[in-house]
Amino acid sequence: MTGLTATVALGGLMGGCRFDPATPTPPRASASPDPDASVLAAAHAELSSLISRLTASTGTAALVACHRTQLTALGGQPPSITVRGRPLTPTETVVRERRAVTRFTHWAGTCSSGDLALVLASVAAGIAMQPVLQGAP
Amino acid sequence: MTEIDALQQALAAEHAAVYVLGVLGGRAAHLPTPVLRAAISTSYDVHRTRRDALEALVAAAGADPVPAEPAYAVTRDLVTPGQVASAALRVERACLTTYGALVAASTGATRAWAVTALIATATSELGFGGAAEPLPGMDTEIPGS
Repeated sequence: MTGLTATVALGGLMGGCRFDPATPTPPRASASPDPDASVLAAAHAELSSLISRLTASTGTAALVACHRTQLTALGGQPPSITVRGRPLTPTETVVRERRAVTRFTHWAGTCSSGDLALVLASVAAGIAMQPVLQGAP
Repeated sequence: MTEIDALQQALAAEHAAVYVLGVLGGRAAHLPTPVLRAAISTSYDVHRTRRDALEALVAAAGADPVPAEPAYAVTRDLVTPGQVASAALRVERACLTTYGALVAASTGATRAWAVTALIATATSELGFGGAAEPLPGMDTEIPGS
């Protein structure tokens, strides 16, 4: 711990002695981007796509409502109801939902934030619980 | 909550689950509900396996696994299939909560294991009359409360 502290302090001192007006130091915030930003964006895209496709399908209102709740929990903005993709067949719906479970499970296991991991795992579990997957072969 | 605290909490919940599901299996044996009996039997085996896995994870982390209590309180209202199923559902929900805490507190292989356990526990609720919900484990009650 002491060695680490010394290394950090020394690095700070050396950085403070540097003088190079041609290369300004970038803002500190940009040096540490959110490591989960790409996961969160992918999660938003996955749910938004499902919502758009399912909205155009028949008999999927409960599933659409489920995904809207999940997207909101992840801080995403559900797509407008006027944004509809090509309708999914029942078989395609099962395939897409299963793929979503796999993806959210993976993201939950690999993201940096524990709190985000919990929400992602909960989304995966919430999809796995849906009747469309429970009755599927 | 640290990872080891979350592991111990999940282990404590699994100790209780194994005990209570054993009692429920005994009660269900006298009921004409083969589907419920099978669901409890399957759940019992799953929770026993998870309990053993959690003990191993705690030990691997260098801690002493929390022991089981000598006994756990079980409601006396276990006469009908619905009452037995409700009690089993409470067991699953209690474990679900602790797996949520473990997911949030852990990393790496332990978190991956906890995610799988959380998903499986959520779907197990369906076998005991639980309803599908968008975000299981996000707002369930704390075990023992």
